[in-house]
Amino acid sequence: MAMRPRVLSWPGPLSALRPVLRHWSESFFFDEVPMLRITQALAMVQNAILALSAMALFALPLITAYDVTLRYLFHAPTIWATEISIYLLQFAVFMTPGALLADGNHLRVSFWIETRTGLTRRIAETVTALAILPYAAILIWFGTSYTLRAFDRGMLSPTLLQVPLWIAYALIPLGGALLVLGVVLKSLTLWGEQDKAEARA
Amino acid sequence: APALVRAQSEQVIKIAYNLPEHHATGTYFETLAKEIAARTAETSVKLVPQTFPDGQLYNDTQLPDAISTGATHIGQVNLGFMAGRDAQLMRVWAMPFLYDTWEAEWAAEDSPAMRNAFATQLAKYDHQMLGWMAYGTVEIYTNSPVRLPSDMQGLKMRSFGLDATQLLSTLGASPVTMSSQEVYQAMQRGTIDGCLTGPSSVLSRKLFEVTKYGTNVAMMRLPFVASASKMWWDMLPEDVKTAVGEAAMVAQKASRDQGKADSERVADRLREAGVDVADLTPEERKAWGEAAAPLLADYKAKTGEAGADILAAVAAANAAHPAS
Amino acid sequence: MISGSIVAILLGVLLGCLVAGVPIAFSLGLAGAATIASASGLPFLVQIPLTLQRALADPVILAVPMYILMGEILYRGKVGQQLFDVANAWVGRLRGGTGVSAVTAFTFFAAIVGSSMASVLTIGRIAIPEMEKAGYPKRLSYGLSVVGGSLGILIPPSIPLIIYASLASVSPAQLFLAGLLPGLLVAALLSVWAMLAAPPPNTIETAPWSGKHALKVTLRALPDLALPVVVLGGIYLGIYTPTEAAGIGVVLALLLTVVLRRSLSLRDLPEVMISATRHSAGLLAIMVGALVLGSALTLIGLPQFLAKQVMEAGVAPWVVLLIMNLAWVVLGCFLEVISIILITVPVFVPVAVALGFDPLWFGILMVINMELAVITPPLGMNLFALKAILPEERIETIIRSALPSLLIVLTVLTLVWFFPEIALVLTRL
Ligand code: NA
Ligand code: NA
Repeated sequence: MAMRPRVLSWPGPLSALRPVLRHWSESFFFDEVPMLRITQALAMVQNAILALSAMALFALPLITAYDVTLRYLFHAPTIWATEISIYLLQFAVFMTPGALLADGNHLRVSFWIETRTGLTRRIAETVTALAILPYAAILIWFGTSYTLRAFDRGMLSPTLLQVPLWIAYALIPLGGALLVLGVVLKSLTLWGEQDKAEARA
Repeated sequence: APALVRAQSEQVIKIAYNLPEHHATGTYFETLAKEIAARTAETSVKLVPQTFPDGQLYNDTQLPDAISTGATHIGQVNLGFMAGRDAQLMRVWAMPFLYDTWEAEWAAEDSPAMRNAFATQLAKYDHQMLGWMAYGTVEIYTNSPVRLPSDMQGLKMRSFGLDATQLLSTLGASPVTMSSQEVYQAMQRGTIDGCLTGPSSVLSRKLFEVTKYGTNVAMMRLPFVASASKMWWDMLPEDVKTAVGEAAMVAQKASRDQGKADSERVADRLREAGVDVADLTPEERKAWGEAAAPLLADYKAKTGEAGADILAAVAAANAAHPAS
Repeated sequence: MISGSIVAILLGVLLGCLVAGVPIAFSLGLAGAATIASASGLPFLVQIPLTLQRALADPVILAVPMYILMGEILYRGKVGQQLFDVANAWVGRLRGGTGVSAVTAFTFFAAIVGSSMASVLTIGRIAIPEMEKAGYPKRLSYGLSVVGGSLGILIPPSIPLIIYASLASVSPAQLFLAGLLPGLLVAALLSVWAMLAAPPPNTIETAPWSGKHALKVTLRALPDLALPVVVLGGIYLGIYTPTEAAGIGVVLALLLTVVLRRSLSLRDLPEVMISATRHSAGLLAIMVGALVLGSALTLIGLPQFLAKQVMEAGVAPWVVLLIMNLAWVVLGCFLEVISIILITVPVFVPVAVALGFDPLWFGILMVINMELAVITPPLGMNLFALKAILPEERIETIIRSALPSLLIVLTVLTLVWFFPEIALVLTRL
């Protein structure tokens, strides 16, 4: 099962790498404070997306019940219930993978990685997070061209609602961008907590 | 764009469509694939078509986008899944009671006015139009008898695509959106009162078990379009383009012939299966035409001269191929 | 047209990512992307946003988050307690009575929710401590819980059955009917197991059985007991579709827990919503990833290739079915149920239909296999759910204790295989 990154102990042989990595993180971020701020800002964005998605998904049963009631009792179903529900679902599914990644909520096969400890574990966790970047890049690049195409041609949904399709399509590249932020946030958390632990030590 | 086309080379191309191989639209693409393979064997690029039937790769909704973006080289376009300003002129395809006969439909589609208008509009979506195929007719299937437009008032009808939905609203029915897999059960349990669909899918989805009444009026005679991805097409050498164009003509004829033959048999097969299929009187037909008139008026208003040209071609085709 | 090196790339990326611990959703997506890019070139990666759009375009998928939300509300609203109390009041005094009560509660809860994890969490949390009190060995109490929870996907309503129905073009309502008897068969075998393996009841400590008391408990739980009747009843009366039933179920669950029982306060709702969202979005991200991989498999023609090989090899249909079952078992160890369904159904169903198998029966066989998948390690959702209830217990102990219960599922799988009528008889009424 997915797990939250936690403060891990340093293993013997790999501890040689420790000063190098510490130097890297220091020289890149100069010190702990701005890094913490970045982490907090990223976490806030992801939490806001998660809250919006929760509202979107909570609306689904309400919309469904409303539509069923209108159809069954008044023989007058809405023309929008199903279509709007699908957009709400797309929002929740395409926009949240980054937030789930940062929180360690994605399901994964963890029998190998959970036998690792210390720096190996951290490196492994970082590599599995970075491995996602090519997928995020595909979502951003091809999702953007797909969205722009729909925008340029003024494409509308083939329903009575006639919703501009670029709005729905844009969720894919936006979700890809949030996924990149999720990778960044997860990496910062992984390496940032160690810095705090060292600062305390 | 797909991989660069090299001279004297061989290229595997994808042909994607949404219906089964044995359907008249499937016949189009399977014939097209066979003809392309044969006719490009000696051209500067040898094309090796690979077909993906049954929506295996993309379904109705994605196919227009898949062709636009080059995610398939050739594909089926169900115009009901295209909407927006550039699709407006093509909406004529789904106008109810537009054609009197199959031959009139084909003549209108092959007229320069209509064919060029569609090719031009589709090019705006990066489609290179290859030709027409026969989807077949669309009829009304319900659990209460329907002979006149007034019988549709208040019926909950499953609908899909823009045109069928607009027609249902115009007729006073309530369009309901649901997955095609749920239609059988929804008809059986009365969640909906009926659906607007092709007789062939009533057979293939066994809807005849749960529907009591149907019409045999060719409410719509739908053509689908075959398009190639324009990005790919524009890179093809001229001799290959010519060969593909010839292949498309053969496929178009095969599909239309089968579409007409299938359609002539299907009403009787539904009757054998226990559906009360109504042949309407000329007066009843006229009432339907009048009820659907607002759609045609709306089309004329929105398309102006270009639309008028197409409708003139349709009128000429109907005059040349009247119902006997 | 199948190239061995592309299949090697596909498997390499997929297994490499999975074993390294890359989330399943992205392992599937990356393997799909690598396959598309190596088979057709980078520009064809535009297939991915198209597939993503398609993944959520079918309205039946709306049932997934709604059933998950319903499960979460019922779990937080402690609806499991009422169901367990009713069963316990009637049969709790028998030998194995606590176990039978747990199985009954699992069965009933399965008729409300569409997934297995919600079942394990909701009923298991109440039943496991009771079984512990009654001196049940872990093998029995954990086994009853993981298999009892898996009934959630076999007894209707069921998310896997809805997705199978959509992919295989069969009626979800018919498929629901087909799942009912096999599900009850699993429940019956679990009950027999409980009666045989439970320690004798400690009659001195407990009060004697009283019909009046049992009736009182039942009446009190009537709204809970009515929940599945209303949800499934509405489907069969044609008031709503199986997809819409999920939405109606959420509204009813809210009425039951927030208004009637007040076991869930409005202040708890945001947490319930967020938790359900994490669960839904995680599951659907996997589904989307599986569809990307599935579309890549289609692109390279693997399903058609395998189908052709099988049909041309001329092996006996039962051998083909056995191979498919083994594939499900192996995939079941490493993947999550929905992704297995999305990847295998487009490959298997055309072959199964061509071999003359009934697609309804085939779907039920598949979902019984999925009951195995939620229990087999290393990736067994019900094992994880059990671990969530028992944070102190080692996952190794949970796995070792739960594994023998697989025999029950295998028995039912064999029975339904050799007597297809167990699944089909209700669909013919
Ligand atoms: Na269930
Ligand atoms: Na498993």
